Amino acid sequence: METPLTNISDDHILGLLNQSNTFEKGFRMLMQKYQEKLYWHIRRMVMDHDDANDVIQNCFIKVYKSIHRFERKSKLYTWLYRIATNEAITHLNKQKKKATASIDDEESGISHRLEADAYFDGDEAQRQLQKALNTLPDKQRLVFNLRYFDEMSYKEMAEVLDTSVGALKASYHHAVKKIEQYLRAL
Amino acid sequence: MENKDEIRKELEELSPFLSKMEKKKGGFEVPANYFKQLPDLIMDRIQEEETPSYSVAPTTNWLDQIIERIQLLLQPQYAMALASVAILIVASIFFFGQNDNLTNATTLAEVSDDEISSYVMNNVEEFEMDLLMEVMDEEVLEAETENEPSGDENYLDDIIDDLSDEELEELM
Repeated sequence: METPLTNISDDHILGLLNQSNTFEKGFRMLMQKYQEKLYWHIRRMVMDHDDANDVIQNCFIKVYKSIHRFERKSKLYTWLYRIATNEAITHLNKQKKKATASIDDEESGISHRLEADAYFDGDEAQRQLQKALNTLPDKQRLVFNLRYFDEMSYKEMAEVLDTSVGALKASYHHAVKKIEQYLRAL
Repeated sequence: MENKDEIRKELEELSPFLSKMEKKKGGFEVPANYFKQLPDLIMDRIQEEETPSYSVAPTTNWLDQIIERIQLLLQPQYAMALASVAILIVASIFFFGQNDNLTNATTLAEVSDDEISSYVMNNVEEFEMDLLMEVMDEEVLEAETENEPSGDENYLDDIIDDLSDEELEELM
């Protein structure tokens, strides 16, 4: 569900952020415009709502502290996605360090977590899709999510992930094939 | 910029099976009003982080104030500075202490023999007997060496002079 604030231009928001007396107003506008997109992007990476809640908060705190360094070389949208992606990957890496379970246990763990998650209402197909996604390496899963769910162009993805368009296309194609293979094998 | 149709067509070509699946947000949901409350939650956290974590409550008791100040100094950021100052003080004492010893040694070398003798005579009871005897032996030996006759013959003459006639006959 989108709020009317999503129609406010980035230039207007950045203008408010440039002045100390309108900074907080501008920052609130920025959050309201982008919080949902960034939240879903993070949620698809970390799966659990509580984890996604922590990561999105850390992400916006980082944006608050570093917005003055945004030089408009890229779009605000891709700059924000880049921060959100880094925060999500950092979170996943911390989780992996804690985890001692094997790959099989991890897979059944994902299934269990989705069933236990009060905020997962997907049908069986969605559950299987999430399990299939979880078999992909993090970077490939990230590429698939940005293209399939966020419908991002390869050029924008290249800005977010600092990777060439060719490499991203190859990564997406591999990811699609692997997911199809996983789902057909069920 | 690619549009949604291009992305859909790409997926249809790559995987007709996957392209027929209903695309949701991945099956995930959020608690009610989550996105309405999130900006306030984040602003609260930002304000918490910007406020110093410690606060000194106003007190009238001077003892409490001293304890609070000590506790404040034991905070990690101050404790490091205190430790550095302590190390500097210890290092300074060690360094300047060594210099004092060097100064004392230099000053002693500048004292004349007469002054030393005078000091020893005035404080003779403070010196150990063995040390005094050792010094005395050295002085006597030096004096004897200085007064010694130039030739062995003079020394023998003196001994002969001391002997009686009977002792001389016995020796002969």
